[in-house]
Amino acid sequence: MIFTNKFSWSRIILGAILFYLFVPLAATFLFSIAQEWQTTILPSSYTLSWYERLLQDPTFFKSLGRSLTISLTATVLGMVIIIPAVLVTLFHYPKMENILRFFSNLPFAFPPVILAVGLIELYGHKPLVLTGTIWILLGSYFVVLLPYMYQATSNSFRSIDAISLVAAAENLGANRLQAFIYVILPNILPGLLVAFLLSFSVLFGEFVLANLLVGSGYQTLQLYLYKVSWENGHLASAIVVVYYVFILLITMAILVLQQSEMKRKARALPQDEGGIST
Amino acid sequence: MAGKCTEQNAITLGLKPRFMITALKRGGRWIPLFSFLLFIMAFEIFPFFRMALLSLEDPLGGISLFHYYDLASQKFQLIALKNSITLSLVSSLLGLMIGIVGANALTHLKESMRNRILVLTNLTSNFAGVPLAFSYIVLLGTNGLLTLSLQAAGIPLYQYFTLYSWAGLTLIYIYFQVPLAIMLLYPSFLGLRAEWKDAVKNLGGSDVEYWRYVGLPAILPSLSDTFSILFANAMGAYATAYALTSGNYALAPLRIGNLIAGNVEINPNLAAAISITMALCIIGFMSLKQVFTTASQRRRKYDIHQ
Amino acid sequence: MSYIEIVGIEKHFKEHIALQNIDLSIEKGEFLTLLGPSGCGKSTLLRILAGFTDCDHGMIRIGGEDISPLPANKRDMGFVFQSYALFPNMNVFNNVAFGLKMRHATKPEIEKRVCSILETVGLADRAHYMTQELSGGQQQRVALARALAPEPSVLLLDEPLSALDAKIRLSMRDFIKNIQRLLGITTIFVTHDQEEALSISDRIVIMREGEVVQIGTPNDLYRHPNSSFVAQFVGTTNLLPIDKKEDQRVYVPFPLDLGRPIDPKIHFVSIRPETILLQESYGPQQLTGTIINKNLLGSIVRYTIKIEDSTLLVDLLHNPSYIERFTEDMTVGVIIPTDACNLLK
Repeated sequence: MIFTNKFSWSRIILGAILFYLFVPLAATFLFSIAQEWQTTILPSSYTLSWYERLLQDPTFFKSLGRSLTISLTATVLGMVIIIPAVLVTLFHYPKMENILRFFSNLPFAFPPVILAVGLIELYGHKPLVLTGTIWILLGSYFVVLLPYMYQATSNSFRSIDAISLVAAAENLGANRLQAFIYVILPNILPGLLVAFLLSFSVLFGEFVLANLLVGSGYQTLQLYLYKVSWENGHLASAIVVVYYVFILLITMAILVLQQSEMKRKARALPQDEGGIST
Repeated sequence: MAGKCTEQNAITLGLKPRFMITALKRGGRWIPLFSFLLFIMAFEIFPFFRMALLSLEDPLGGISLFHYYDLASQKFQLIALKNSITLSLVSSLLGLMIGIVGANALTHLKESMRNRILVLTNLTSNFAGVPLAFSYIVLLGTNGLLTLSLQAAGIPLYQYFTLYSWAGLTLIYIYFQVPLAIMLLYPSFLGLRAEWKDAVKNLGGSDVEYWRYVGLPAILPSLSDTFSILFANAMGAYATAYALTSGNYALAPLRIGNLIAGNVEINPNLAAAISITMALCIIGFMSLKQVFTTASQRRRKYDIHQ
Repeated sequence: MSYIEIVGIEKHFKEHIALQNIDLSIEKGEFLTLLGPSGCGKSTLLRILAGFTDCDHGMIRIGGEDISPLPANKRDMGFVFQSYALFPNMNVFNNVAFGLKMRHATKPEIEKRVCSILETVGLADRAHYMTQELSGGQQQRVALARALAPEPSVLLLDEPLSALDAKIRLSMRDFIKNIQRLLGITTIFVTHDQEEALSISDRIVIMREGEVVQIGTPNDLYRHPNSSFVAQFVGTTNLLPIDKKEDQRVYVPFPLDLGRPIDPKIHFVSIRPETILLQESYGPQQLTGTIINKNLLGSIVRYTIKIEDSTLLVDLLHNPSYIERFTEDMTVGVIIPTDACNLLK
């Protein structure tokens, strides 16, 4: 009896929290399909014309394209540089890990807006003008991604006990590089993929740096959304919905990855026979 | 003859390639490290130092605290700092409380259900920024969905509350604090073993006594960690407040943004001073928490009677 | 009337029936063990006794009083968890003192009682230590001390030794038994290790799939198992299916004289390995077999003997004076005393 009470309380609480979290989304969605919605509680008429307009708007596609490009490029760049660097450190110079952790925790004390101050000062004047271009965004996004990638990599590294695995591989004749490729990489791949998707979605929703460092020089989806939100609320809602669907797809992918990872782990464990001692 | 030849070759060539291979391997190791360091230097370390220097640049040349004095004299900026701190504290506290309840509730579910809900909370945490501000306007703006519904139900919301006020901002900030709190707290709640509760019950304690003597002490470190992360998160938040007020609200991040890329006055030095002050607040807060946790740990070890 | 009476306990979970109609009587001061394979319901029964789980039907009486309506924190029982469940934020002293604190004992009372019980378990010098700093065996003793400090009338132990190394397990086993004898406290012990059960219990309850299969002293259960399950679960046995029955003889498939009339419902013969005798020389009518394996188990040497198509395990004491006489591939005479044969349905 006690058990079921706790169980339903938990469901009520979580249901309430989820409701609170999804209500703004629902409202926005409603707004995006509303033809007229001034002072009535629910829209007076519905339409899909806002989406039609959106899909015919070249500016929208351009900004979407820009967001996709920069998020993808920065994430790939981040993975290619950060992950090997973290792996090498964890493996060959474990004592340096503290320095790595320090750098990756720095963005907490120095959020992006503070970073922007130094970046504009450094790269906003001749001879090296990067502000207003995509390059400064790329570089600063690298810093934004660092905590996520470091965390994911070091967690995976630890959870698979990489050091023992490499020792086993070497014992069986592999060199370090082979051990990395055949043994370490496949095992941390799920964690890395999650890091990739997470980083991508963070960058996709990034606003501060895009606004302060580049502005209209490279109008990402978020900047475009901001502009439209002052002009046409319905259109803006449609953009929000599209953005959200995108994020939803990415999150689903993460969920699927995590679930397959769990199943794989469950299968890998040897089955325990209940011991009857003789 | 052939055998001797190959043997000789092996000796003369054997050492060189091996040496080259190890050198290349060590060099190979350095490629990712070097490029990593390059980026960090260029986009994290140098900007940081440049900014710190900016805040200490005396307009007449040399190093001084001129800009800090300037900051201290500008009521406008000080109010923004105070607002940021208050907003962050309140939203973090409320977000933490809701997060505690939510994380605890989460532990009572099956693992598959738990993961799905975690993913949903992760999803909504991505919503922060411009989309969130916009959605809240749709919901609670002057002609928002909720506003009008409440009006129809006889509650004139806008007599007591407006979204563009401090209360409204807090409400929105709580929105993105809650998922973060749940995600950060939930592992430590999971670590609370069911048997501890049973053990307390067996020894005569009630549920309240369980939380008081065993449960809360066990999650306290995680609670304070999460609180400081939430605080830092709120302090640094820019997009949401910006979108809601088009950068015209008295919050430290917005002030900084205006001073480096705004339309009125460009004063990067002042911006840097505000930044450093803000960062010191965050760091100070985190250290305070650290002192608190180590002190409580030390006490519990030597106190025989609790 | 017994001290503890468990009457008609039933418990269902969503997918299966955990306990079916359990009736038990336990005497005051008795050391009773619930023994059975994983999933047989022994831990569930213990948790129902402690009040952590409700039962669907049934009643529990202690000293004549029905304690079923009492919540877990009002029952006067000490519980030792399999994982010890020591509170991580408290040191040894505070863990042990917790039950007394919940009963609102005064500071001097607590101090006296805790120090006394810590002396009894031999951890008086570790009172200040945090529980994470102790070894497995020490943590176990703290768990025991914590359960005993409030002087409960019943002690419940849920597989307390399963997390320990083999050597420590043996010494802790004796330790628990000695404490129980010293304090005279009624104790219910749950384990899946039959050797453990045999060595410390006054009585053993064998459970399987939610039912009580047999209750008895260790000796009873070992020498007179009531089913093939018990015969195989407790100790090692040779369980021989009966092919053919004659007047006072069965064929398993080799002929076995039983010297007593055979119940038609009997289908198995159980013979303990240590009851079979081997002889180097044998008569023409005697049962013979070939040694196909010789296994040194320490103080016992276990032989596998092949008789026609059956194999028998025979245990002999590892006495160096005669053990070398029996080697592999040797043909030996096999003597199976009639009273060593247990007839089972």
